[in-house]
Amino acid sequence: MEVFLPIAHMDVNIWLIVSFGLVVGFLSGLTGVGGGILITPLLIFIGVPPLVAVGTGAAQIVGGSAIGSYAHWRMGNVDMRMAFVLLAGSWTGGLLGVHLARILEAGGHFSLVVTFLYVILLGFIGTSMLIESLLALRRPRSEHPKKSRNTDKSFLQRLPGQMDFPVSGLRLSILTPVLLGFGVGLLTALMGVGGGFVMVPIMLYVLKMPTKVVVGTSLFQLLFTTAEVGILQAGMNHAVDPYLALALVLGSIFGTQFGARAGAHMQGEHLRLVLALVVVGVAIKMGLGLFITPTHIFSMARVV
Amino acid sequence: MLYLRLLMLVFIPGFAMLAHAATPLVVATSTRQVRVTSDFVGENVLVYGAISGPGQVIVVLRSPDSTEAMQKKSRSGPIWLNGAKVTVTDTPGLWQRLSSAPVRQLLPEATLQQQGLTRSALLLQARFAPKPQHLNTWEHAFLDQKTRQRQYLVDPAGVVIHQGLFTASIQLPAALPLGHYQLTTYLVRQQKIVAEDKQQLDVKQVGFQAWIARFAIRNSWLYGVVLTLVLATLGFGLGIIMRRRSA
Repeated sequence: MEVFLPIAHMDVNIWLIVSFGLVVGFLSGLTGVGGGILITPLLIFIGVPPLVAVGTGAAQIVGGSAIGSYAHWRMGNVDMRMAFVLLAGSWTGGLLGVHLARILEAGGHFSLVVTFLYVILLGFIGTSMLIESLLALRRPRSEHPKKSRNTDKSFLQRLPGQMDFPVSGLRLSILTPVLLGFGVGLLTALMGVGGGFVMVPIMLYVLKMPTKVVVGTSLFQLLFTTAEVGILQAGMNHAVDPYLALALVLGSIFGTQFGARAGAHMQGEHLRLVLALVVVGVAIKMGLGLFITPTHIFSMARVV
Repeated sequence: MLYLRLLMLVFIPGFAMLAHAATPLVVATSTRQVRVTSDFVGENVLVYGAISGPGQVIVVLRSPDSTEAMQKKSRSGPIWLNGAKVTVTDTPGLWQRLSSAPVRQLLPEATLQQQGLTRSALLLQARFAPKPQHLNTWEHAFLDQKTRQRQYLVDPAGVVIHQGLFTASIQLPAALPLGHYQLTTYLVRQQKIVAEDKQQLDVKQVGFQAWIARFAIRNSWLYGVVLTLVLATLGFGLGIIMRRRSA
């Protein structure tokens, strides 16, 4: 079914978009890794203007994370105080990022910046997942090496603005989560991702929050960060396409459910390997675009 | 009803003959209005009519002017980078010229330029801002790009003439500017334009699609809030339903 996208200003088969949501949702349901990092590159590959791909990518995460956030909140897995401190940072980062995107787009540099960010980020995530899953496959039953948990504690405790987070059982400087949130908000605005892949490891290994709280809190904060960025991208940059966003949400919700059910019968390491290969592949495809001599030196661009 | 039809059958050829005698060129279109809906993937508009005596026909469809932006890639080390944006204004968003023979055989170059019947004539009013260094290259690249997107189109065999009647089928692409289009038909004889006919074609968005597009652009902030709430509700609702079913 061909549909004309009013914001992206192009024709697209809407079932293709739904299938993007399905596949990416399936992968994220299988592996538990958020699929936002794959949606934006896929949209760019089919010719959606990069700013619209990024804005729509962020907005569709709202739909994908709503139910999970609610469930974790009901189970008491959200450290509300931590979530609000993070949000203070991420909303600022999001606001700044959307402004930055506007300036870059007006100058015609946005697509290049997005490509660079994705090549670096996907390359890094993909490679580390690849190494991790290959190692895990080689010695399936071995213990993970215990990381020393006291390396930077003294440094974090000396920062000003110490605050208690009773749900996580932590006392730390308010600066750390605010800065973390800021970075994630910036990523959401510039790349259209939720930022869970940055947030979760930092919460676990730097802030040392309990695992149960990490998932709920990060999901909760990314719901509201992507909502803010989605509204800003629509309001300021006209960069959220309604049909694209709806089709992606529909696809990803069903995909996530199927993925989660299928994941129960499959081995984790193999799944992570598949996802790692997909991520590395997308990074290579995006990166190659920078080096291949373009067939046409001139191109039409989006008028802001 | 049948009576009426019979009456028309008798009279219309008569009118046509009258028109034939009075004006050298009679033009009609299959539609006066192109309605762009959400499943709009382009449309055929048929232009047809009658000419008196021998001659050739040129049909030109021109949309309202639009603003475009262009970029030039340049190489920096091994990497291809996009240069700064150049905005192009005062050129039609869509321009199609169909004729019964190559126009350069039909009219002298001066007339073609004067009437805006060539692609390069469209550049006469075009403004490039900020003005790039090699304007000429940019102008040609602009025409190239617009032609590649099928927004500028030239078809020297697009008009078929048969026994004083002509037809031309204009293929409108899916992405097209909205507004009042000018459809001009020329009758050409011995290197001269002997008759000219102007018609209007309205291209407008209709239905839900039009409403959404307007809402998203004009009330972009409210649109953003509403869409975000809709997405959240959709995700939440579907999630609840799927959980219930799997439980």
